[in-house]
Amino acid sequence: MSMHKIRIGLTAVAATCPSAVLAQSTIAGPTAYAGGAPVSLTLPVTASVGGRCGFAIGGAPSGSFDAGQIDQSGWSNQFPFTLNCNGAARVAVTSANGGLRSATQPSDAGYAGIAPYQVKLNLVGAGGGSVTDQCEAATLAVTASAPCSFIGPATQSQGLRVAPSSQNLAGAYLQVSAPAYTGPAILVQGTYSDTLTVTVSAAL
Amino acid sequence: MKTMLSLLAATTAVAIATAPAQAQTVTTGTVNVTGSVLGRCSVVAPGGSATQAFTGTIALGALDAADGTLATGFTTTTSAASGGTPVATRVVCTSASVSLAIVADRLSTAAAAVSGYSNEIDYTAEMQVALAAGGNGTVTYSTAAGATAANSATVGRLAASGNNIAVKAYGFSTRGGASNLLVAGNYTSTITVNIQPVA
Repeated sequence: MSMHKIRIGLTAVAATCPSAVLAQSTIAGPTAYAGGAPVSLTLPVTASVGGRCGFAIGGAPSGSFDAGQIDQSGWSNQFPFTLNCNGAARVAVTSANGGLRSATQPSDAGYAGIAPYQVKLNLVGAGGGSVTDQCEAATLAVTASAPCSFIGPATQSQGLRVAPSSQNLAGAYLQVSAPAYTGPAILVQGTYSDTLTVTVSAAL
Repeated sequence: MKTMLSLLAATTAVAIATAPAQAQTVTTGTVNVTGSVLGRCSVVAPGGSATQAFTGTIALGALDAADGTLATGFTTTTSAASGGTPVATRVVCTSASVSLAIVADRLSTAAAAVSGYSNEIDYTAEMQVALAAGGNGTVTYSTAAGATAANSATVGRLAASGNNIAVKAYGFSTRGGASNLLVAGNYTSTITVNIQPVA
């Protein structure tokens, strides 16, 4: 979120004059009187820029990847994204299913309808530094008993931290991957899917 | 008046400069990942890698009794007490339903048989599969009767662990009559089973 805060103060020193013209600010409401005598005005203007942090326009991670037959071949894909943060930032990820999940969830012993995979987060900071971390998708589910260190949503204190800033730097990505599934349970026939939500926040 | 105009101008400028910054606060991205598992059956022996076929031998040993006819130890075999040692393996199927089929040919030897002798032995071949829901599924093929409804079936998920397939032979009988003498030779037969996913 981006914030611009500008304070404008107005000090007016006016000669007393019955025919003074009233001038009124729409900001702070100070009053200046002007007339035949010179008017001395001092207008100190100060401004500050608050933490601005988000994905760059068009730079949010998005898209879909089809891993193919997950019980036959390993797979990997990177979703690039670009941060636009003028200070330290945190990026976090949430998995909707905690793995690739089939619509069919078998009750028979030895069968499974969810396949694990890894989620890797790589962030690039100003100065060329980068930070990377990786977790199992299962630990990115909101119900995970042992959550990943960068589980979402991102807050000022939650998520993978990149510093000192990351403004429109290339190289950040979210990577998903898994070797060919080999068990121990047998994956049941079906289509598997998961949705990852990536959030960013200014960091403390 | 000039002062007031300047202040108003400054206020307007702030408003204009702030609008683009608000548009840059995109803080959420979403990606989707999909994959698939096809209906498939593979032979995966415990500790082994997946293949599409398995072989084995049911060794029956000597078939004849002292009088030259088929030994009663074979004629009295049953599914529960079959001849030789069944061939067992583990088959992994991803589908909820599995199709089973079995065929076999007679035990026979190349040596010719004259009247009162036989070089062929009928029997029943059976494939028994352990099911995930418990119990077994069974298909059988009688070499005397040929293909019947019993030689194919559709069952549920196979038991996931351990050997879940057993192929056996039992109910042996000398072709042409129990009193026929078996000609000398090596008797062979082939049992072919098919296990495949049901779409």
